This record gives sequence, C-alpha cells and structure tokens, in this order.
Amino acid sequence: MFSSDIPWEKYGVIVELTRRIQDQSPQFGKTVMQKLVYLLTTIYGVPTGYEHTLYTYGPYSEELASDVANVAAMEGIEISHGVKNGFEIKLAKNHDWVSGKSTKFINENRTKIDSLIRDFGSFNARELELRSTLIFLTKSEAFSREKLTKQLIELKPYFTEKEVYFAIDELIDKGFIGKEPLCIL
Amino acid sequence: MHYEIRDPIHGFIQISEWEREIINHPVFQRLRRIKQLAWTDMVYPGAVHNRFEHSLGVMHVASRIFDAIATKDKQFLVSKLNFNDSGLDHDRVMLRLACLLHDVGHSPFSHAGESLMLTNPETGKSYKHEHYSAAIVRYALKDVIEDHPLNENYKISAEEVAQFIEGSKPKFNRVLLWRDLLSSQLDADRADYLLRDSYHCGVTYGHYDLNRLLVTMKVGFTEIDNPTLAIEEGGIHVAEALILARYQMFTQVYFQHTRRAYDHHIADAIKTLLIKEQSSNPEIVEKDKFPAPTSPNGIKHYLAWDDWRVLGLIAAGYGGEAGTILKDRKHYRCVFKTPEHATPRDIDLCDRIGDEFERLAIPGFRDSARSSWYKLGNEDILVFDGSGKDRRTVPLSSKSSLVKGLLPVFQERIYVPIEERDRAKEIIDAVKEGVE
Repeated sequence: MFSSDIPWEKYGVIVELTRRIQDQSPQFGKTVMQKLVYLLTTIYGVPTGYEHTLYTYGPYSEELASDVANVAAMEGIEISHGVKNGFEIKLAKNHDWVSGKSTKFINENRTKIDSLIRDFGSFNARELELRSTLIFLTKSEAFSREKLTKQLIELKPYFTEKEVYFAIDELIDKGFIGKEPLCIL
Repeated sequence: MHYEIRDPIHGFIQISEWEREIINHPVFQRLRRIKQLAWTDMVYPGAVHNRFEHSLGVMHVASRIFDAIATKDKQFLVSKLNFNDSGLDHDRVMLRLACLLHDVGHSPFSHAGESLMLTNPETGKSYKHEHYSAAIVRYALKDVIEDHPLNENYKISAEEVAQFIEGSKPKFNRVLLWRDLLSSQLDADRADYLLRDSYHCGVTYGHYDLNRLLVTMKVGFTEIDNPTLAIEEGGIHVAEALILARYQMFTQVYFQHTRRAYDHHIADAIKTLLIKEQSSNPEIVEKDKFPAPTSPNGIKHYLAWDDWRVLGLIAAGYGGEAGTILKDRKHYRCVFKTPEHATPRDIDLCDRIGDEFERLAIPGFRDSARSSWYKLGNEDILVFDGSGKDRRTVPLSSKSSLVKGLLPVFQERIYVPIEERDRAKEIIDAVKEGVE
C-alpha cells in the first residue's frame, strides 16, 4: 500500500550507463544516453521499460528524458552545458544512493550492459544516431540493402550512402541484423 | 461545405464535411462522456469539461499554427523543402485528422484510468492512451476515414493517421515535420489544454499569449540540417510563458493533493468493476485491466467503457470500497508530503513512514507526482539563433536562463482515511524524531 512506485530500476540504468561510459564516450550527453538505452532494450533485451519513437535525432523516449531530469534533480547525475549546444552527463554526489536502490536489477543485467558498452560505447552521438535508426527501421520491417539505405537517407539526408552502407555491414557482422532481407534478429 | 462549432476558448471552430462525419461517429461522440480532468471538479467545481471539446480545440490550434507557418514560410517551403500547394493541403488534412483523433483512446476519467492498462509484452511497458487511439483509428474508424468522397483528393489511410498519432514508423517522412504540432513541448495539445483547463477551473495559471506564439513560429534547421519547427527570437518570452503556465497548472491543479486522492479512488473503483465484469471470462488472464489495444474485439470492449458507465455502476453499488468513498465524498487525506523537489533524505523519510504504516496496518496509499515540465536536450524548443543565416536554430535553454534552471516536480505523498488521520500524524512525528 505504501510502497514506492518510483522507477528505481530505470534510474539505476541511467546511473550505471553514466558510470560506465562518462569517461569512455567521446561526448556522453542526452542523445548518447537515449541511443544506448534504446540499443540496450532492443538488441540486448534488457527490460528497461522504455519505449522509443522516431524523433529528430533518431529513436527517442520522452519518459527517459523525464527520468534523466529526475535523476539529475536528485543529484544522481549532473547535466551541464557541454560543447556547442549539447549537454554533458557525469555522475553526481548521490549516485551511490540511486544505485543502491536498483542493485539487483543492474546485477541481473550486468553482462548485457557489458556487451552494450563493448559494442557501442565508443561511438559518438552521430554514429549512434545512424546505427540506432537502422535498428529502429529494421525492427518493424524487412528491407533490401538499397531500400534501407534510401529510407535512411530520406529521413536523415546528412548521412552519406557510404556511411550508411558501412554501418549496415557492421551491424550485420556483429549479428544485430540479418542479411538480406535486412531485419532485426 | 464547412460547418462551425462554437468553442469557449477559440470562438468558432470550422470543420469540413469529412471531419463532421468523423465527429458524428459513436467512437468520437464517446469523448463527450470522458471528463478531461477526471474528478478535479471536487476541488475546482467548474472542471467538468470533456475530451470532446479539447480534441476539437487541438485540431483548431494545430491548424492555426500550420496556416501561420504555411503562409509566412510559403516561399521557403516550396523552394527549399519541395512542398507544393497540394502537398501542403495534404499535410494539413493529415495533421487535422491526427489532432482530432489523438485522444479517442482515453479510458474513463482520462489519465486516472491509465494505471489500468495492460503491459505491452513487446516493450515490457504499460500501454498508454495513444496506443488505444492508434488502434481505434485502425480498427474502428478505418471506413469513416478512408471512404469519404473528399478523401479521393488525398488518399489518406487510417494506418497513416494511426502512425502519425503514435509516432511508430517514419513512413510519413516529410509529414514528420508537422508531428511536432501534435507532440512536442510546443504542441497544439498543451497549447489548448492549458487555456481550456484554466478556463474551466477558474484559474489564471495556464494563460499565455497564443496569438503571439502563432506569429513567431517558423520552419528552421537543426544543427544537423533537419527541417524543424522553431520560434523566432522575439518569441522566446511567449515560449517561456507557456512553459511557466504548464508548471503552474501542474503544481496548482493537476498535482493538487485532493485531486490526486480522487484519481487513486476512481482507479480503484474501476479496477473493482473490471474484475467483476471479467471474472467469468476464462480468456482474460489479468482481470483487473482494460483489454489490450491489439485486436478489434479488444477495442470493441474497451470502447464500451466511459464515465457514464462507471458512474452508473458506482451509483448502483458495484464500485466496492472505493466506490463508496467516491459516493460519500470521503476521500483519503494527505498526512505527509515531501517538498516539490524531494531530496534523497525526503524520499528515505517517506519510505520509513510507509514501512511503519505497513507494520501497524494503517490503511492508505502512497502517491508519486512526477513531471519534468520542461525537457532539455533533444526535446528542447528550438529558437532561431539570431544570426539570420540559413535559418539556424539553437535550444531555448541556451537562450533562456529561466528555462535552464527548471527542476522537475518530484513529490511523494502519503494518504490515510480521515478516521486514521490523527493516529497517522502521531506515528509520523515519532518516525521523524527517530530519524533526527
């Protein structure tokens, strides 16, 4: 009756990703957080409970954006204006307090988080936007390589065909999408 | 042929013959029987308005913003984004349909019933009213959308409208530009509900200058060259006003402590009614939830629920203990609350009090009111950067110190029956002493 419905597991994911990647990612901000959580949920099957829709910069969860703000307000993470108009996320003084409320969930999914960091942790926001959008597209529909590339470039004309082909090959090589027809495995 | 509907906020709202047929459909008429703010009228007696008038208002406001942009930026839309007149006409019609229908999936008593929606097995997350809206468009409104003679000009499918509402697939490509008018921090939804809810509640917190907002919206480019809706530099203060209006409405109306208690009680009462209705159906596993929005049959059963049906059943005595609380206006009372921006210490204290109430078998419930009423980052409202070059935009938060400093509301409350109030306060005092 009086138990809390605060989503500590979700907050724990936000803090854990920050802990693991704040010094590894070339620009760990809100966009990178959005894409990593999307990939963690979609590819690695961690039940984060976030649902992403397609937004200006690729897969995006409004709820995750709110939760990032909530965790920042309780000083589990700190968000500051970084380079250009982006934001930079780092751990803040209460991060252990937040983590302590989600230890079990994080421990259960630690291996999957390790894999996410290994496979995607070094990408910047633009690279993650491209890869997560390709995953998003192939999740709901199977494509030929040409059609997937065309669809991606229609949505995001600032990516070159070469970049898109390279990312598709990489996702196939890593086993995240199947070969023709291209669809999520 | 156009028709007009008089609206208390916007004056006359024009609708086409096609839209009139959709509005006349029983699925849309159901919105007359879904109150916009659930039981808020127990605190603000004027708040008895419904989703029907709000949906018309959203369509109207979205159209006004679209028209303002399409008129002011016509040359740019044609030369840079390859729009032509028929393309703009198509997108306007699509936008109006999506706005009109965006709330048809609300459960009885609007957001209060959302806690009774099933978990989507694909996402592990509860369905939301938007999922029901999209499913209703697909399963129940397909004919009235697709078969109207005016649609010969547009060839709009129910599936496209559903996708626009739920933002599920990017197939609409260029139409994506206009989706911000339905779902963003500067969308027609909140532009309407702030004014409408303020009006009916009799408060002035939700006021902002809609006309000023309209003339300052344009199409710009993000830093990665995506076309996007943005406001001119001169519109910064009206955007700030809208954001503050929302903050005030959340803290003073939507998160008002008694209103939150009624949300809890009505959800409990509906849960009781669902269990009773579904108890003998062996196909339903979770009997205290609404059917999932995944089949025509599920949607048919879902649509049979509205405020009238719930109230009738409660009046007839089927609402259980929560139904009696509602009938007798004996809502639970708030005996503990954290500040609006709870700290770890506040949350730990609330946990301790809750544990002690559990141990002593005090009845009641805990409520979490959370809202990030302005989101920085990807969802930031975009503002022209002032250089006048290439329609470049920057986030509002980089120009507005007011917006940059906003903290989300994060408040925990504990409620108990009125008879338990004095005892509960003694226990809270004892817990606080123990902590200090």
